[in-house]
Amino acid sequence: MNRRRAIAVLALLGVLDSAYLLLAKLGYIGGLACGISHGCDTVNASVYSQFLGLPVAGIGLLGYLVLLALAIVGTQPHYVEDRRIDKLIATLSGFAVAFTLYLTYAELFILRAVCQWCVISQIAILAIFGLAVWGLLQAGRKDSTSVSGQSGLD
Amino acid sequence: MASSQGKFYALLGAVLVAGVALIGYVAVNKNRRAVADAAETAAALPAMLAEGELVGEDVGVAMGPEDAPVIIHEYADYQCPYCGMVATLTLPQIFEEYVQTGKARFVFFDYPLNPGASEIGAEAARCAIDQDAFWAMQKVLFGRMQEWGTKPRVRRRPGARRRRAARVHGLAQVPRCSDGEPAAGAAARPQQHADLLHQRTARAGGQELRPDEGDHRRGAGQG
Repeated sequence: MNRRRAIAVLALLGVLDSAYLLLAKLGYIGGLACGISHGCDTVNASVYSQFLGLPVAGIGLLGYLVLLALAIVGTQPHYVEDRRIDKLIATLSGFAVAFTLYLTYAELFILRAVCQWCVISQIAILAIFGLAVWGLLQAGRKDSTSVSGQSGLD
Repeated sequence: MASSQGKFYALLGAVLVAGVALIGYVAVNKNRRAVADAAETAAALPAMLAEGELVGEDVGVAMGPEDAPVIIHEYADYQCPYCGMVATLTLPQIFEEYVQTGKARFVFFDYPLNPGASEIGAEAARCAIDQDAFWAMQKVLFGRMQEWGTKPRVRRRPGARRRRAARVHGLAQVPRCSDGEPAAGAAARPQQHADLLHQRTARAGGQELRPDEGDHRRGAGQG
């Protein structure tokens, strides 16, 4: 329960972060405020900021919105015990982590620029994935405990 | 349970409000600074031009009459999608309606944002000048940046990428600079010169700059 709430908060941070990146990418708020990293506009204007013609920040925004919705639904009493929520979150965030690793590689080794707003998203999605996998592992452990308990009773 | 869920929604609401407020503050603050920077650059521009601190036209690639009433400067990167969009969607119309009719002069300056593909694209286009094919080469490089710019095999072999870019355009041979200057130097020189102007005006978002009180108007923007 608390794990899904934590996922929801992280997904909301991801929504805000990717919304800011998307607004900057579409030119509504000028350049990105970059602070110490100095690589935000380099990253956000690069060829890697688009995927299949779509802005990566837009894809991220959509993904975080779906994760946020799933996590909020998962906190409802009716769905608290529903494992499918954890599986869906783990699968979606797994794809997102793989995509994030590709983008991080491009940032560090091709563009040689780091954008702090992208780093926030990278941390958020890794944490979401970690929490989702942890939830699945715990559920699996509970299952095996209850099975062995039942067999003990038999 | 209900109370705990209520606290959770309150937390989400607080994060949402704080996030929106932070984004708003950062965006407004950034734009305020951009306007101030643009005004400062506009004020400093005449002195910078006089002292040779800014890039001169000689290190760019120009098209159109020298005495055109409007001069457009573009700083662009061959791996930047928005530069590509400007090159393929906007510039053809500007060339046709303004440059070819003598109303404006267009000067292109390389601004490779990243090492690797960006620099190599700039070198290839610049060296195509010798075959009188700069603008045609540029069109191909911008139009097909995804195709040539993200190949790991080509990325590791700069020479191969130049040859590939040349083949894409159908050039008879790999472009070489006739003055013997290495291609990398040819592209790097305007980039280095432009760096100062870029730093001072990139955040101005293409806002018009007036270097002097005369008839000439120069707009500087990153494509």
